[in-house]
Amino acid sequence: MKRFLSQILLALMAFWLTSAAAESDPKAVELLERMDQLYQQDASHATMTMHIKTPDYERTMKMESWSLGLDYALVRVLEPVRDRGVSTLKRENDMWNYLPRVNRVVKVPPSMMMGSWMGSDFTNDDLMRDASWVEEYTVTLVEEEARYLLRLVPREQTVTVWGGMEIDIDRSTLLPLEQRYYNEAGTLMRVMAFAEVREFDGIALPARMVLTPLNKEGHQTTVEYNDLTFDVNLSENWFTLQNLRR
Amino acid sequence: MLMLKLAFRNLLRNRRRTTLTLLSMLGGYLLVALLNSVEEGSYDQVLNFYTRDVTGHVQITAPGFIERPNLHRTVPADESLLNQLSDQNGVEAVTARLESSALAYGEDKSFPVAVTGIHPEREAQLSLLVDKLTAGNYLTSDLDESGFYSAMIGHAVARQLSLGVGDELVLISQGADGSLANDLYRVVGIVGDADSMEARQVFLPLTAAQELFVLPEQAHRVLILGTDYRRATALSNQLALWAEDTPFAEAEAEVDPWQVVAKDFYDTMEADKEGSVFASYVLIFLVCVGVLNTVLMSVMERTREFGVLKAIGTSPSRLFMLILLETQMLALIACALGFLIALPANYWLTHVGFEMGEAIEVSGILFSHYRGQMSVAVFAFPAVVIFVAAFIVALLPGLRAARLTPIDAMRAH
Repeated sequence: MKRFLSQILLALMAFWLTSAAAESDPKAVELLERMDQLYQQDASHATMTMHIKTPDYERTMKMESWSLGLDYALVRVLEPVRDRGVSTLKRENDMWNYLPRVNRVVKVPPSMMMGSWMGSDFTNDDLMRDASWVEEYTVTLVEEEARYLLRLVPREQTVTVWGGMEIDIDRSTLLPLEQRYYNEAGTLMRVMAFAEVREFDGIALPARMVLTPLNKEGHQTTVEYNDLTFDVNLSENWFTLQNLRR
Repeated sequence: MLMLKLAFRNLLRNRRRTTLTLLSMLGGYLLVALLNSVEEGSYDQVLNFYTRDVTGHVQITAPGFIERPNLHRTVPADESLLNQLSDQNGVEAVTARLESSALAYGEDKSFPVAVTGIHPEREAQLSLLVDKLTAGNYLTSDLDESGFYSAMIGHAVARQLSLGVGDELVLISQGADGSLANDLYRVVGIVGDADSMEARQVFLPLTAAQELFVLPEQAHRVLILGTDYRRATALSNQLALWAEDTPFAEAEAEVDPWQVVAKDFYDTMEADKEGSVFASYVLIFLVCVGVLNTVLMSVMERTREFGVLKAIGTSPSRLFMLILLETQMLALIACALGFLIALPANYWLTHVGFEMGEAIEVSGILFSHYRGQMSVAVFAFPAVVIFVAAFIVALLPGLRAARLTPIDAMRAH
């Protein structure tokens, strides 16, 4: 009888252990969700400057963006003049580019998702991200003295773009410091650093993000928010192909 | 002189034997000459075509472009520089190409394509692109009435995007400055068929491609056609020297003959050629055996005669020389006759050629005939073969005759 009990106990323990490995830590989930929503809140309207540096060229773009949650977004290029009006619309799982020069709306095919967005180091997929990372990754929290470290591992049987991620979060401000992307082999592929915390519409946020891909020497993309407001009144119906063309 | 006379008389004495030996040498000469001619002629045809169609004889490119093409590896290609290049000695035609890739859109579908910016007039002088048009017209540099540049598309592009002549084509790519390259073009022509090298190509006027990819007055390859692809290396060296005082030097441009530009093709070609060289050695060997046979027979037949010659005081070395001289004279006559027959035959081969069972198509151009080649080598090489073969072959019977004991020789039947 005693032996039987201990067996049950062992089985229970094993079950508890495995389920713990698959389930995310609630506090970690909360932090990750905060990261997800950081720049969007419910809805946002922003103007930003993107600076792209490669060994062959450097360029600066100015753009305006609107977003509603993670599902809807519209980005429009303001400068340089050559690309003025080029816009990208995201609705749930679909993405289109509008090219005013040829007056055409072009759907971004799935094969182009890992392609560069507007020549930057951001991929189309970076813009496409609609599911929260919470759904695709199991997240664990490591608490350190000055920061939290979130470790993201893809859930089993989930197709993810990255083989893993790490996010450093400042313990006092709860703002991200650095995000690291790994491939399936566990090699560090790119690093996004957050800096220059400023107050936008009453919310303190890092105004500058520097994305450095480690597999492409000399490449770097910096995004700086010039303006960011959250009290915009947008509905899903606003994110249409008609508005994309405007 | 006496020796020559003697040798000549000997040859005339037994006409049948002489004719037989002569025929075997003549046959050998013709066989080697014509085979060589067709072989060289075929390579010639292919190389001439290939260098014209694909690479030009000499190319000027940015360092590393040949191994790893990259949008940013460009060389200057403004009109005045190209004109200067055309004025160089031995340069027949010059053109510039800009190469990249793009996503092409028709009405709604998309298709990845290779984009080549070409200089319409210059390209027509150099390559065979004009001849590959299967529908519509050739490119022009001008904008049409609606302000579109013209474009020629490959067969696969036309089919995938359901585009025909007169339709609009959208190209989307990335410019050299990182901008989103996108523009509308008017399809004016369709190039090649489903199997041709150009099937996935879009050809734009160079200026249009330079605008699209934001590479003003730049190109990826400057192609030079000289007088002869065989002179490519010399021309390349000459142009490399010239380029040192031009804007090409600032771009650290490389000047290479087609053997470097199309290294893989050249290597395959060389390997193939080596294979056929072996085949022609086998043939030469067979010809030698044929000559040996007749020469040996003719000497054996004359054993008694040599015995008499020795008996009346001919020295062994003289006898040896006599036999060598006879065969060399025969070889000379055979080669002269062979040349007289091979000349018109080769002329016909070169200019008419004989038809292949089935024509081979190489990138839109039909090869329907085996062609010969008119060159000194084609006639000289088999002559050398015959002379050397006759010499080697005569050594053995010559030595045999020189060593004869008169009494034994005269007793022989």
